[in-house]
Amino acid sequence: MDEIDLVRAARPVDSYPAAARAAARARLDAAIAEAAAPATSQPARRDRRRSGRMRRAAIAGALAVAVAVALTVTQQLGPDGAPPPAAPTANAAELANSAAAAAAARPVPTPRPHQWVYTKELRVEYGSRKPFTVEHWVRVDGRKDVRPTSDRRAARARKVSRERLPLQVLRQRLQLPPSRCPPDTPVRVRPAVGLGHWFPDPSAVPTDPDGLLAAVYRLVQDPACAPIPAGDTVQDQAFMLIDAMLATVLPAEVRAALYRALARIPGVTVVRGASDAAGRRGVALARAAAIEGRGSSGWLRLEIILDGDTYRYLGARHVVTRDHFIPDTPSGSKGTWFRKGQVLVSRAQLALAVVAAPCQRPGETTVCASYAEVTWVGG
Amino acid sequence: MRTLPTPIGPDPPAQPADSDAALIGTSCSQPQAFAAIFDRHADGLYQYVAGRVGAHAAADVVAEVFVVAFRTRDRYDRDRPDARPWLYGIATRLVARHWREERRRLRALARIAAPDAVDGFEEHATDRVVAQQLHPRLARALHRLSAADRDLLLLVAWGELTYQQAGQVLGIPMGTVASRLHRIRRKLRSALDDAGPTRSAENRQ
Repeated sequence: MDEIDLVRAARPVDSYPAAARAAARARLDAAIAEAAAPATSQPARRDRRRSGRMRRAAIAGALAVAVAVALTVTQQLGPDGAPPPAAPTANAAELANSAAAAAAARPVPTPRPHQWVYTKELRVEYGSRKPFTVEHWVRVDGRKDVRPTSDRRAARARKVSRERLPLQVLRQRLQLPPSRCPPDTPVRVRPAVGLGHWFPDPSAVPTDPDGLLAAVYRLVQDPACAPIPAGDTVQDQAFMLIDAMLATVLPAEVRAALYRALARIPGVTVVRGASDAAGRRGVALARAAAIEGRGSSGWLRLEIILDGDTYRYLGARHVVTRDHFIPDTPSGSKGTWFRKGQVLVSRAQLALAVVAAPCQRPGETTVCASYAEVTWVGG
Repeated sequence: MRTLPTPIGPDPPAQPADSDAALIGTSCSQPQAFAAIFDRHADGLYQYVAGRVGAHAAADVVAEVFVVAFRTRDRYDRDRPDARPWLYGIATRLVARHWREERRRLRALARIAAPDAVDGFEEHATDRVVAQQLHPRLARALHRLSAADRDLLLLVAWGELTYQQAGQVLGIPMGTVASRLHRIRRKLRSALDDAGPTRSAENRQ
């Protein structure tokens, strides 16, 4: 054997870890997107001179502009322009009680198995340049669902959004709505909508807040799912899972109990003047996320936004509450800055309805079928 | 009548539409075309880089290679259909930079930890990853080569570049590549023979 062959044979065989590969690809995609964007395109030579940090700042800036188009504020301030005082937990309980009372009083029809649940959302995601709409029809029994072709665009935006996030943990964390199990984990086959998606026996779901919260805590620690990402907490996961539940069709008493359960999660506060992806201002139940260790907890706030008057569920968002840097590698100087006021992901529920047929929209009875029976069940 | 020359000089020779050169050309006006270059070469490049700096640092270096490549794509020589020499050249420079930074970091650490240990730390920095993954004797033999020789050898052995491509990377003619590799072989052989049992015995283990 030749000496060079000897060296060749000794080459360590490391296959490219999927997460590292995706992160590398995402960095390239970000560079490509920047070059492709007319607003930030520069002559190549000048481009090269800009430091990595400036490049990322430029991306973040472009993102902030895109977000600002949809959102009237990028920073939640009180009505007087001052940061909202740390609301005592009693306020969260008060808000939750009001929301629960309103939800309990709002009639919700029981969807029949052959009906369809229609949802329409406006989303702004990290890395996507502008808000996009997602429409979705799921048959109540979960056996069929319809996604219009435009949804492919949304899926692409979501994919880009996920890939641009610098850390796997963040990538898993910032999905809206969070699935019960993180991606790539086989999920038991269950109805796609309603409580049945999460609970094997929807009729046995507790309607007292403490019992329901305990059930939610059990769900997020379900051993059938991947363990909770390092640095994440059960409380954050529970908060986001409840958000996902609130976004679907629920029995009134369960919805009411979910609001009260939210206020029982430690650290949940009230943020006034929060606005959803559609720019609707409301009042939010919020929690400072204990995201991603190394003394960085509390830089991101999760918000569930309710209408200030009717307490109807409007949407959710994740807001950066102080400047924070996440290195690409544990020791690296390269990474991504998140800036105070930046909205990482934002969602507005524009419609939640039970309809008779797929591809039928509320109020558009002639589009798909003439026998449309549309019942609004927004909570 | 002759056709007018284009302002940028003669057209590059026709390349297959899906060659790296064609893709890079397209990416000058349609940047997203460049993503295909990553998809083609990222895995092979990772192997080469991971062998040289270890899996942990390789993730960062490989990501950087493609960003650097993308930003300098307008200078790519489109006469070369295969982009690998270009990419491996960028990677080799970044590997060198990585070790420079690593040595600087370790020197700083050494100054804090033990003022006299600088040299030991420094040697550790160049050797560590290779030593973790190779047979110690082969690692020692590689370490004895000059940085330029090590680059050439590993581009050929781990990067799987041809002599011609490796020469393109390092900017040396092919004859020089061949003679230098011959010398490298001899150096490796004597380094391995120095170190006790014959390499053929080692090889059969």
